Amino acid sequence: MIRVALIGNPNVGKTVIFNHLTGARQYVGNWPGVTVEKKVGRCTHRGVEMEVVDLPGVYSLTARSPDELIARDYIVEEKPDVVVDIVDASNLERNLYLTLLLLELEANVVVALNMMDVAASEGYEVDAGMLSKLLGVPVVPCVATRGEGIEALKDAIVDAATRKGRRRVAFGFGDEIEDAIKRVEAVLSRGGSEGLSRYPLRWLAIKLLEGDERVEALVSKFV
Amino acid sequence: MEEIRRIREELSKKLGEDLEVLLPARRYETAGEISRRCLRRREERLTLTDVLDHVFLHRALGIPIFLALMYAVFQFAYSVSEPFMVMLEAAFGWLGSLAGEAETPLASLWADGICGGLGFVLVFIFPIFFLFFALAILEDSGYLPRAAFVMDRLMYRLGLHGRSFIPLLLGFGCNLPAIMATRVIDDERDRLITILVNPLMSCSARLPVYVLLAGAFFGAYAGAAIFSMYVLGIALAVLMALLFRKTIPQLRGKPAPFILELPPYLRPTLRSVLLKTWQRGVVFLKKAATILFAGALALWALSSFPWGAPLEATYAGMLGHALEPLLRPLGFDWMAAVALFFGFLAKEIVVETFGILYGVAGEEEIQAAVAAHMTPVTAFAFMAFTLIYLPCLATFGIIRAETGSWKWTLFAVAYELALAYAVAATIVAFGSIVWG
Amino acid sequence: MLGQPFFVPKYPLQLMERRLSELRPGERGVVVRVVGERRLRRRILDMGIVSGTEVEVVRVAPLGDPVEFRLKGYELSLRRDEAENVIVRIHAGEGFGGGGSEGEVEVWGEKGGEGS
Repeated sequence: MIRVALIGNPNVGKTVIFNHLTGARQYVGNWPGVTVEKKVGRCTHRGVEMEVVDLPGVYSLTARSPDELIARDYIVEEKPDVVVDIVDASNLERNLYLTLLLLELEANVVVALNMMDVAASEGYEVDAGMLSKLLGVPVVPCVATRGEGIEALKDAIVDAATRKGRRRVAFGFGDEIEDAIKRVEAVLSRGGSEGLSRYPLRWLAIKLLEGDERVEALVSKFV
Repeated sequence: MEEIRRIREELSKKLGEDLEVLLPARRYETAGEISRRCLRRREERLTLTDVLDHVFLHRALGIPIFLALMYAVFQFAYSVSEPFMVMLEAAFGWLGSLAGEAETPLASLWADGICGGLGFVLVFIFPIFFLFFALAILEDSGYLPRAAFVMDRLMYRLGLHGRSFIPLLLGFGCNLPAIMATRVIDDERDRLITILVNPLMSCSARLPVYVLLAGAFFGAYAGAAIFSMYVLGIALAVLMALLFRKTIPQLRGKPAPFILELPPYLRPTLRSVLLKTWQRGVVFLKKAATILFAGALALWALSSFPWGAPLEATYAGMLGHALEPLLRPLGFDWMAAVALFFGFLAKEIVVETFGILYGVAGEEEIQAAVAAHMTPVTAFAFMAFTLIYLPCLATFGIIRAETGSWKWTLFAVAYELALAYAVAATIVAFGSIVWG
Repeated sequence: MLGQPFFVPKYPLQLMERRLSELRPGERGVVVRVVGERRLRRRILDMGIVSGTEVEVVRVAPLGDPVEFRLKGYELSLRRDEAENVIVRIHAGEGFGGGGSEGEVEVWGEKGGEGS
C-alpha cells in the first residue's frame, strides 16, 4: 500500500480531486491535538492500494499557522510515498511557490494541473509539457469538476510511487546563497548529527538560513 | 549552531537584505520565470468574475446585495422545507395513533415518547439540510470571501474578523453547524470569541418559543417582538465580543490579519453541493438528532412518571418546584422552570414542554394556557431568557469538541446564565416600573 | 486602526515611493520592500508580494476597508493597516491625486480628503 498526500493552495479543487480519488471510501476525523479536519480515503488503481490523505489548503509551509504546521509535519515526518500538488492553472505563479517549497522538501511530487478550463476562459494557454520539463516532475492536466484527467493522475501517482530512485530536483537561489547553503550543509554533516539524517540536508540548510524557528530548535539539539 | 547563525548574518549583510525576505523573493522569481515560459495569453478577456465583482463588491450596492442574498438563503431554507415538515408531522402523528386509545405507559411511550419525539426531532432536518444546501451553493460559487471582504471593517471594529461573519450568520439557522463553520477562522483567539458569542445568535430552535409567546401576548406587535429578540442577540454578541477582547487575557490583541484571496467565481456543481450538504447534515443527524431524541424521551419519562400522578407530582414537576425559587424574581413559575430545564436538551422542546405541563396540545391551546400563567412583561423576559441562558445540549457538545476544552465550554455556560438572568431581571424591573 | 496617524514615519520613503495603502483604485506600483511585524510580513511575502512584484489597486470595500489588489494574475485583499507595510515605487503622474483613478471623489478611509 502506498501513502499519498494531497496538498495545494486553498480553492484549487483539492476536495473535488480527493472525492474523485476516494469516492465513498473516505472518513473524516481530526488531526491529533488540534481541531483541524483530517480526511483520509482509499483508492485502488492497477492493483495498487493507496491511502490518500487530504492535507489542509496552504499557501506556504512556513509552519506559522496550524494548517501549515500540519501539512509540513506530515510531509517531513510521515514521508508519504507521493505528494500530489494540486496547482491552479489560472493562477500559476503563486501556486508554483508551494510547488517549489515541496521540491525543497524533496517530496516525491506529482503536479495535478487543475482548473485548465478556468485558465482557458481567462484566455490563457498552459503548456503542461513544458512545465513538467522545467520542474522535473510529472504534470497531469485536469479539469476535476468534469472528471477529466483523474485516470491519468492515478496513473502518474502509481508510476511515481514505484519509480526507483527519486530524482532530486533543486532550484538555485543565486550564487551567494547557494554558497552559504553548502557551508551550512557542511556544518550539519559533521559527526554527531545522525539524528538529523532523516531530514533532507539541503532543506535543513535553507530553513536555517531563513531563520525558521522550528528547524532551529530541532537542529540545536544535535549541533 | 552558532556557526550557522554567523553564516546567516554574513550572507544577510553581504546581500543587504533580511534572508527571511530574500529567499521567498528568489523563489517567486523562479516561479515567475517558470510560469512565463509555460503560459501564453492569447487574449485579454474580461472574465465573468470581473463583471460579477463589479456588482457584488460595488461601493454602494455591495452590502445591500449581501444582505439580500442572506435573506434569500434563509427564506429559501424555511419556505421550501415547510411542506415537508408538515407532511412529516402528519406521518408521525398517524404512526403514533396506531397505539390506539389505551392509556397505558407502553402506549404512551409509543405515541408520545417515540413517535412524538422522533417526529419532533426529524422535522428539523428539512430546514437544516436546505440551509446547508443554499450555503454550499454560495460557498462553491466563490462568493463567501466577497462576503468577508464586504463585512470585515464592521467585524474588525467589533473585535472580530471578516471570516467570523458567516459562522455568526449561520448561528441564525442552528448554532451547531455555525460553530463547526468557525474552522475557517485561522486565528485561535478570533475563533474562540466567535464560538463563545455564537449561541447569542438566535437559532431557529428558539423561534417556536418566540412565536408561541409573542403570539399569545403581543397580538399585532408579535412580529416586532420576535424581531427584537434577534436584534437583542446581535447587540449582546457584539457587546460580549468587545468585552471578552478587552478583559480576558487569553483573548487580548487585535483580530488576525485579513490577507484574503478572492478566487474566480465558479459554477457550483450539483454533485459537490449535494456532497457538502450531506456531509454536514449528517453531523447534525448524528450529534444533534440522537441527543434530541434522547432528550425528548427523557422529557416524556420525567413528565409521565410516577405514572398516573398529576403534573405537579411527576418528576418533571418536582424538578420545576426545586428550580422555582431561583426564577421567581423573574416572574417565572415552576412550569416555566421545567420548560427552561428541558430547553437545555433542545430549545425546540420548550414549546412541547409547556403543552405537556398544561395538559394541552396544539399551538392555540398552549398559547391560551400560557397567557393565563404569565404577564406580557414576564413573557418578554422569558423570551430573552430563552435567547441567552444556555446553548442546547448538542451545541454544548460541539463547543466542547471544537474548543477541546472544558474550561471554555463551562465558561460559555456560566457567562450565558449570568447574562440571561441579568437581562431578564432588567426587563422585569423595567416593566414593573413602567407598567406597574 | 482608527484614530491613529495615517502616515507612520518609521520607515522613511524615497521620492516616488508610497505605501501600498496610499494608492487608489486604478493606480499601480512595484514593490520595493516589505516591512513590519515578522509574522505578518512573512504572510504577505508568501502571497507573492515580494520585491519587484507589480501590484494594482482594484477597488475599496463598501465600508472603506479592506482593499482589493491585483498581482501576479490573481486578486488579493488586505486591510489598510496591513497594506501599510508594503512600500511600492510608483510611476510618475500617479499617486498625486487623480492619475488613473475613476474620477470620482473618494473619501479615503477616515482621514478624508484627497491627494497623498
